[in-house]
Amino acid sequence: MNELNWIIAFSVVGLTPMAWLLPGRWQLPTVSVLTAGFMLVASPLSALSLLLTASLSYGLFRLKSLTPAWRVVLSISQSVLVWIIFKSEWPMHQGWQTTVGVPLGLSYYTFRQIHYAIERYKQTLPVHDFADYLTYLFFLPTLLIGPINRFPDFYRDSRRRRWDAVLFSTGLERILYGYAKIVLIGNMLLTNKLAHIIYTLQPNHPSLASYLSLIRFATNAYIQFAGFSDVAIGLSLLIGIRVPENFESPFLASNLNEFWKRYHISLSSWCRDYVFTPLLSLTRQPVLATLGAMLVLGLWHEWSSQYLVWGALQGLGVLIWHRFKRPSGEAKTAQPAWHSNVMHGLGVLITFHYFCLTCLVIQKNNWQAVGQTLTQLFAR
Amino acid sequence: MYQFLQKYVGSKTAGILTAFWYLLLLFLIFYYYFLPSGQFRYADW
Amino acid sequence: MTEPTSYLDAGTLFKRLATPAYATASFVETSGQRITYAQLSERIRKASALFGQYGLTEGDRIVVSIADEKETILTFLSLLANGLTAILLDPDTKTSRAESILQMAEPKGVIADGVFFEQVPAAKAYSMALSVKPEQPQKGQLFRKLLGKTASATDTTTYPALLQSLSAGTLPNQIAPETVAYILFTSGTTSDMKGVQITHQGLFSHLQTLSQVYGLTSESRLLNNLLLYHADGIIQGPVLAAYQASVCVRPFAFEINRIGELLDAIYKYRITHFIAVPTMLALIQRFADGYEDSFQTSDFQFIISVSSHLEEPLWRAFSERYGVRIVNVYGLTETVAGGLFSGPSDDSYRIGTVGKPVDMVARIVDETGQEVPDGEAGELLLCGANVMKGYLHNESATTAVLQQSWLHTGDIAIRSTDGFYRITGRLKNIIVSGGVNIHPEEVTEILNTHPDVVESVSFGISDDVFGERLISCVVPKPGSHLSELALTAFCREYLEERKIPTAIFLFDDLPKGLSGKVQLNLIRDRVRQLDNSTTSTSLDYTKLVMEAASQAFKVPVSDLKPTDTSRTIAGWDSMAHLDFVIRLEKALGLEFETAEIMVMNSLQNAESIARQKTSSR
Repeated sequence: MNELNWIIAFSVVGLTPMAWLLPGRWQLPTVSVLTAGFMLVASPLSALSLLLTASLSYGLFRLKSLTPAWRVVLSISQSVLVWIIFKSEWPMHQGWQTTVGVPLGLSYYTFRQIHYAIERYKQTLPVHDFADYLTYLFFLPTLLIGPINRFPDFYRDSRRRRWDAVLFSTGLERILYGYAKIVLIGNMLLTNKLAHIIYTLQPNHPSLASYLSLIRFATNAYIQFAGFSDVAIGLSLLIGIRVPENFESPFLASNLNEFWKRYHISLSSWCRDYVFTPLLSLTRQPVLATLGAMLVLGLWHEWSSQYLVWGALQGLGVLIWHRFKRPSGEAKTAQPAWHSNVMHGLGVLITFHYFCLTCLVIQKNNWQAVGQTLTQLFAR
Repeated sequence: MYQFLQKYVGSKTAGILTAFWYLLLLFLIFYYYFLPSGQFRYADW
Repeated sequence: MTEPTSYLDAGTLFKRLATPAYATASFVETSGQRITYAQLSERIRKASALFGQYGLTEGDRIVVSIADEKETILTFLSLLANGLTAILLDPDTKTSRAESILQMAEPKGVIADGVFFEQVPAAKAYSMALSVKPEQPQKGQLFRKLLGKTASATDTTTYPALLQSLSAGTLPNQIAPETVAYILFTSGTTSDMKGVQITHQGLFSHLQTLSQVYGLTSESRLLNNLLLYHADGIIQGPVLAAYQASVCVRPFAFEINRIGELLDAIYKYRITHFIAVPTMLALIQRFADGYEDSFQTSDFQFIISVSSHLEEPLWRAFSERYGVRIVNVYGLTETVAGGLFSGPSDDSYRIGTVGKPVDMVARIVDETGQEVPDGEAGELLLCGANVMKGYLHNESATTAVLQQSWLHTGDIAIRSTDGFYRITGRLKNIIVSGGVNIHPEEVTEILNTHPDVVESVSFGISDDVFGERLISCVVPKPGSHLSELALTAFCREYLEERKIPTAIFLFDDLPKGLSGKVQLNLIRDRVRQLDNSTTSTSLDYTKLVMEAASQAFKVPVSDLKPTDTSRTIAGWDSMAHLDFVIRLEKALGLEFETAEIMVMNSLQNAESIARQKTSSR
């Protein structure tokens, strides 16, 4: 997490003062220039890759000789191509990745660019110029840890920006809470203390130990990510930009569909808008659309078979829930209140455990290990 | 935090309590920061 | 009660604003500039010295016609603070009208743009004829300072640059309450000019009323980008702000393609009160999808609707969609600005009414002047300290509307038994289009001067967005080749842009009654037929969309609103979305494309896409 700490330090010390002390119209452009400078120093490849894909994704729409459909297809293709090159296991096999590494924030800005291309094609974007688009992409606080914020929101907020002491102190608080989540809950409690407990349980209660380690992996993933999202949101607030929330107590969701509306919201809503809805409108097949969206959601993390299966399992879970859910219009008054409370609680438990279990495929390095853990869990 | 506390105690007390709460968190974070962190894959993104 | 119990007068107010407490406080903020109260105080004192040099005395009339907003505001307040009477003349005013106003008003001086003196050479003859050259905002001040450069030398023969060399003068301690503070000319024919004279007492007592009703303090921040040459722009803007040492924010002129930016200004500038005309609200309602949260800030209090009738459906729909209260103000240029207020307090707030009079007394009378009982319609009469002194040099027009200190508003109203007033019609021949009053006769008068026009008539027809639109009907001379375009161009020469008819129809004759008077109802019918032939829709799209939504989302039709989105309807998830689309397709007998389905994010959106789809087939 070394880059992250640098980003945070540089955002607080470098970006924030510039964002307020310079004359109004220079503030955000300076933030972008400093972001670009930071990337050049930290990882020149990242800076070049972002500048190239950003220029293409904007510039292709200015080519008069192309039809709108071609513009959007080419614009998306170039973003996706760069993304696949760096994210798939293929370059690693070629021995590339070890030498150049993955560009900083690649997954996030690839999806931002696709969003931009589609919205531009749909002509829903406000009037803006290339500089506005660059300001959106070269924004250090959300570069490496998301969320995948949307251009119209960012643009609107950059227009509404004002000095606001309350917002600024909220930002500082969010950063502190974010770090508290990462360090105290994530690192200290889940990673260290719980590891110790699991270690002592291992000899006598192997299935309990496996179970706890399963829980530990999923909750730690959530806590760490939510913590870093807090930090990103807090850093943005210091600059006066309000980016959307990324988590909304997902482990309290009572079904998997709801869970994905509350877990990594910016990604799941992206998949809903740019995979699910187009697929649904195109094919009229809800099952296909759901699976497609969830596969993309999985592959976004990493271009690997494990994440493919993980995504498929999420899709399967959502489909199963849809198959058995109560129709939305039906009255729920027939049962007494305690009944629905129990059902709700049960739903929360099932959803949580299903998610933890699916995370097994990304936790273990190979399928053999997955099988082993499963046997340990269920066949004592 | 301050707004939350202010509803229950005076603004002065709320200010002091908030400051203590932040300091406590800061101290704990720095204290535990150097513990080995989990093998966490989000770092690649 | 016809007057607030106490109020600040000009002397006290401007003395107070000069105290160190307000030195750094903002008075007016525009997108690039800021005027502080200290700057205002300095300006009015320097202007005082200048006016002294010209030997001007209290009550002398000065014509002001400046395009630059900052200069208009500072000049108006300088005149006000020095007891001089400002005659506000819109820089858009056409030459002939400006000339007649100058002739009739007999001013002692003119402060106007250079263009004005070129177009109206007579204006140069006044002893005080100041040509305005606005001070350019100093660009790149930071870099200039860094480079050690000094500001370039300024031209000292133009106003306000010539003020620089003057030392601050002293403001009059006391200005007589009956001294006229300003004069605004309302629309009218050249034979019947109406320059509304508002006295110091009228203005300042009304400022007290307004700030009490709106709850203004020095923390308030008013957003008002209405035209400064209308009472609602200048009085309910900078002048009202100055009265409470509040801030008046004028980011930019209202334009349809900047609606989003304007709404964003609510948050950016921490606006507490937004002063708007109903047309603006109608346009926002129509073109600001996705900005529903604009008024949900910790600072914002309410919208103040002024200038024209706020339609009940718009009022309801807007308040509901944006979750904001709209205070409806009834007033005339003749009552400074307001008089009756619906809101902000619950006991005076009722949608569809103009609320209750504040610091004024209202009566409703029939043609004989007898007061009518509650629930019956009659002309609304108002009495209060804020009523004008009379029209300048126009005794007959004054006595026509002002009798024994009662102002005949020319509006028809009904009072409910619990004291709420509702405006139901109009006696006077005036139309209000987008918040601007237009005398149809003024337009007819111009059209009739065209050599190829036999006769013409102008009137208003109702319009969803503008409230009313001006329509003219013209009878051309036989054999002439008049066209609507040529007539519009002709109007443009003699009329301000806002008074140009939105449509001019050519007829062979105008229907007349026995007395020879043009029968307006018959012409209206003719025009309506011509107007409607372009827009005909037989399908009830709203109903179809609502029914499809109701079935797909399992919500009764009565609970659905056009503004509903997937966020406001619980049952509108991705699956139900498809169901909704399919039902709609069946009802309309067509199929939507992927891109169309994707952008259907609200019911009204779905409706407009459905409309486009069917019309394009």
